[in-house]
Amino acid sequence: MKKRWREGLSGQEAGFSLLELLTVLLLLGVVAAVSAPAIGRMLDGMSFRQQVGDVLANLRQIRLESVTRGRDIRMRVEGLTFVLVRIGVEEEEEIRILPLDPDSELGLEPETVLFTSESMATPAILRFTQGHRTRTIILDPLTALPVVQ
Amino acid sequence: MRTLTDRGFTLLEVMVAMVMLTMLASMVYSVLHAGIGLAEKGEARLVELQQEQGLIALLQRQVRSCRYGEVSKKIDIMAEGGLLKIITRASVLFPGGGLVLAVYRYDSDHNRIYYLEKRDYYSADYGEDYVPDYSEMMVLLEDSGEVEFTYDDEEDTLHLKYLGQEIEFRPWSG
Repeated sequence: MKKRWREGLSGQEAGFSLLELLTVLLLLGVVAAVSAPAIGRMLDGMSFRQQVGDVLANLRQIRLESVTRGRDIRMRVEGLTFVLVRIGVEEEEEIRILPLDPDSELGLEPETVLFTSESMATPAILRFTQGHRTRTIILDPLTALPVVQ
Repeated sequence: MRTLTDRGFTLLEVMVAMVMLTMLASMVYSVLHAGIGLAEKGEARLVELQQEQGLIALLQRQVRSCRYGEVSKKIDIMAEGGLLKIITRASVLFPGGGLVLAVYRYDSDHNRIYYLEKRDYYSADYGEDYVPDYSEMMVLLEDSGEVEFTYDDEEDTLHLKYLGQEIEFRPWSG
């Protein structure tokens, strides 16, 4: 005769024994402990990727603005911000705060770069670092587009 | 009586299922990863196309804002094979900074175009035979393909052979 689950809640068949539960919990714990560092690294990597994406998007936006408005824009890096100077009869300065983690670093070489309204830029290299991760972004002078190395 | 089928899954069965799931997950991941790689490749190609356009546009601007030699009654261009020297107001490195001597040089060994600008264009060092060394120039375009410049004195036209097309630049045309 077959007995189905929940039929006759007596004795051993009523559910899991403590030993079974403990074994399962232990196994789950081991799996979690083994995979936790890897998952942590993966999440860090994704967040880093996203931040690089933010930097690239901002650079592209600056290029686009200088072309569409027909105004040269001078840019420099201060901490984790881009300082933009729109060149014209009246110079306008804008500080653009980038959504980057506070423990990351941003460096521009040379110190300033000029985006011209002809969609060109003076050659420059931007380095973004967080922990042991680094991305080098080259500003291509012919197109003013950022190129990730 | 308890038969084997009543007892649920055995550990072995669960393990096999987990292994299969992992394999499936890794397959899905690899497909997604390949997708990201393709997207990056596409973006790189886009930059490449823009660079080609950018080079032509830059030459156009530099030829149009080229200096006219008062004595020689000619514009200041020297073109020969993979080398182009031009004195122009359209500067890449010093925008708005006045006249510069711009030099393009094609390196056939590495298939790239080197570029250089000199603000002291009037210096006697940069005569007819002046050819800068690659080491003091910057790479303007990687994997550019062969580039050939020729200058037609009588028609005041710079000819560029680039990517299988022939492009003409004139300083005076509108």
